[in-house]
Amino acid sequence: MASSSSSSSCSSSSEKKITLKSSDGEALNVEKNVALEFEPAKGFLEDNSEEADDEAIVVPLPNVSAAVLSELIPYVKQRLELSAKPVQKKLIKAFDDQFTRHLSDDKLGELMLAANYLGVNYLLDVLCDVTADRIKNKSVEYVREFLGIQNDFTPEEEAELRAQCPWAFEGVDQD
Amino acid sequence: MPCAWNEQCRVRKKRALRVRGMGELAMLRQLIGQLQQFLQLYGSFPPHNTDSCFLYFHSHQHQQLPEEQTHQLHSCPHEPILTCDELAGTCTFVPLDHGMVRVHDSQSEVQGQFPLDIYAYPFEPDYVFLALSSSYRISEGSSVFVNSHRWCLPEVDDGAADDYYGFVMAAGKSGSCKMLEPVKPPPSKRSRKERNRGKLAGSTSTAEAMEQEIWKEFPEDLYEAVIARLPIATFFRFRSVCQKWNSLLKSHSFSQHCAQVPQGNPWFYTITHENVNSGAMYDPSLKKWHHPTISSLPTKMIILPVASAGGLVCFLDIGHRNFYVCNPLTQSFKELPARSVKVWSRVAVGMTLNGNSTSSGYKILWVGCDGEYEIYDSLRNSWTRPGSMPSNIKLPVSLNFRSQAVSVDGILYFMRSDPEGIVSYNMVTGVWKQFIIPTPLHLNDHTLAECGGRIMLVGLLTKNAATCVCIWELQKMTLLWKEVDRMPNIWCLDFYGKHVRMTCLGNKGLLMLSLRSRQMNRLVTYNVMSREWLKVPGCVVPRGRKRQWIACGTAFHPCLMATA
Repeated sequence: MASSSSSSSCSSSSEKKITLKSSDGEALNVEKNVALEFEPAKGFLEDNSEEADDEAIVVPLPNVSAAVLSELIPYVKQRLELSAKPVQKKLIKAFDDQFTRHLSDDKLGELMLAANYLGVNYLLDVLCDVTADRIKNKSVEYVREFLGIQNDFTPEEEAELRAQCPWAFEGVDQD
Repeated sequence: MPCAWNEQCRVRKKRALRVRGMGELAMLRQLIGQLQQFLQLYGSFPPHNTDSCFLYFHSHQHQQLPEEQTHQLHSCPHEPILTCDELAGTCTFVPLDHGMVRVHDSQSEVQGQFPLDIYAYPFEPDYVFLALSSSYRISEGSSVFVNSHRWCLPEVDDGAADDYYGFVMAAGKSGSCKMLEPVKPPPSKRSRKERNRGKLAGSTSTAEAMEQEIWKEFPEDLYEAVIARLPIATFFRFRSVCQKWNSLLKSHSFSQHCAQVPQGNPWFYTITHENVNSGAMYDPSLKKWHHPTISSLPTKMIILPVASAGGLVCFLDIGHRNFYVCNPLTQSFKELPARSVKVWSRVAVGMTLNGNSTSSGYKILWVGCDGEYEIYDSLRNSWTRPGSMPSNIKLPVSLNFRSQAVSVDGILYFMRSDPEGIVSYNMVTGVWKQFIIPTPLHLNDHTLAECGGRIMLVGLLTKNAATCVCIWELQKMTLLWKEVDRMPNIWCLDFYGKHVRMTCLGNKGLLMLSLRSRQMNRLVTYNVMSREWLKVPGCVVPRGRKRQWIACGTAFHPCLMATA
């Protein structure tokens, strides 16, 4: 399996660099083990494994911008280093918290899309948690605005839904 | 005569809401004192007859009750009415041998002999009511509200009788209303738009537009992943975000997705003194109280949550007659068919699921102190009586009614005394077992709890003037309780030198405990797994001020799919 070979050859492959090409055409050099964390890159590298020189490979990632990639790459790199060590889950959680704490709402959305596209599931999990956490105590209006959702209920329909369980609308945070 | 209670005891009847003056009080006190002696004499549950009627003695309220509350209390069927101001006649109770009482009501000229029973409002120190088990009804309306805040009853010292009858009184409570700290009403909310209008005025509209664009192109499964991580309470709010979310949250696939998410903390369905007929649900993940209205629950009588399984809460009315099952989140509701008993004595109740969810059915068991038991099967929608308890279980089963049953892998465990220990019933195999387990010394108000298959005991340990909540775990090999945790010292200090009573309001992995002394009412949760003690915020109804006093409750795992 590619994943097991990547982890066993971790030390040697960490020197090897792969070039990722973002949606806006920028080329970013990353360690091979980091690139292997991204599903599309991994697939691409497996398909082109005959190529002798990894340096020559340019992996196109047409759905991710350079700005997002440059945030993702350091995170994935550090996260890989962390999980290689026998550290406690608490530490990893603290690291994730630190990474997500200062993300703006739209950056959060961009990262989620990217993590989804790149198949970085551990990051996606964390980002979903953070998003859920940010909206859980908020009003319906806030959530609509946060996620850019149009209210397609008639006022009567909405009032009816609210009347069914008034308790759920009590005590939400101030927006 | 073996009966020391052979003195006439008169209770004047009035048709108002309060008994006025010390004369009535003295009489009441005398009556209660005599009833206690009666209890001590007989020591066991007096026999029952058909219908019961109750006289309430309510020491809690020193003010006239608001109209709707008295209405609630009054309209309990078969629950009588010895009331208040327009007193016309005199009602005489004469205790007889064998748990009977002779009643003479000079107003209605009714006379007869009836079995007598004493109950407390379950788990609740502030109410005592006497039940006349008979078809006799004194007249309409029958609550006696005692308006003195000094009213106090000596406690029954005998532990068994105490548990058995739940016959406890808060000594000399000074008017409870005064003890309630006024809490500010929740601040009114403003929409984000409103607030941001000013704040964002200067910022570029493109930033906002971009943000919306990003989230708009979100694939559906990502939305679902976020929504599935939301606390269940928010589903009901966010249904009204848009049509798509509404249909998603109602969809079967989403419910299944949620069912696969490991069960977190249970919620607690409780009822409060102030409003016995509407519930207050505590959601520990949001640390919030919700106030649902379950419209289908009968409002004419007091209905107590007694057990739960798979998101359904089982209710039993205060006269121990009718069972109801309800999902407090979705209002799915069912009244169970009538039991086949003629005697409405107090019962312990347990509930289990047949499979992993309520879709494969659930069972409810009640067991009385005489060893009678019956099982309700939701698939057949009927009660069955599988047999009687084996002879190795000592009768009567002195069930500890303060302790709700716990269920582990389809086995229900009930706490008993005399001999102290546990009786268990396997809902699959139908086998009763008894385990004799000595209760730790100096222990009060103890109840069973459960966490991941471990059987726990929680109780108040009192030594000299110090009181502490302790947690024990059952050692299944040695059948001994082993202490595993205590409430933090700093919290215990608050109760130093005070008389404290504890009620367990739910015992599924997370325990909610109500600790009360004269001036205090503390609600705390204890997580058995993480050994974390947390304070519970006061329960205040929306737009209300007064903190509500929780009377009793049960823990349940919130589940949208559970149908009664």
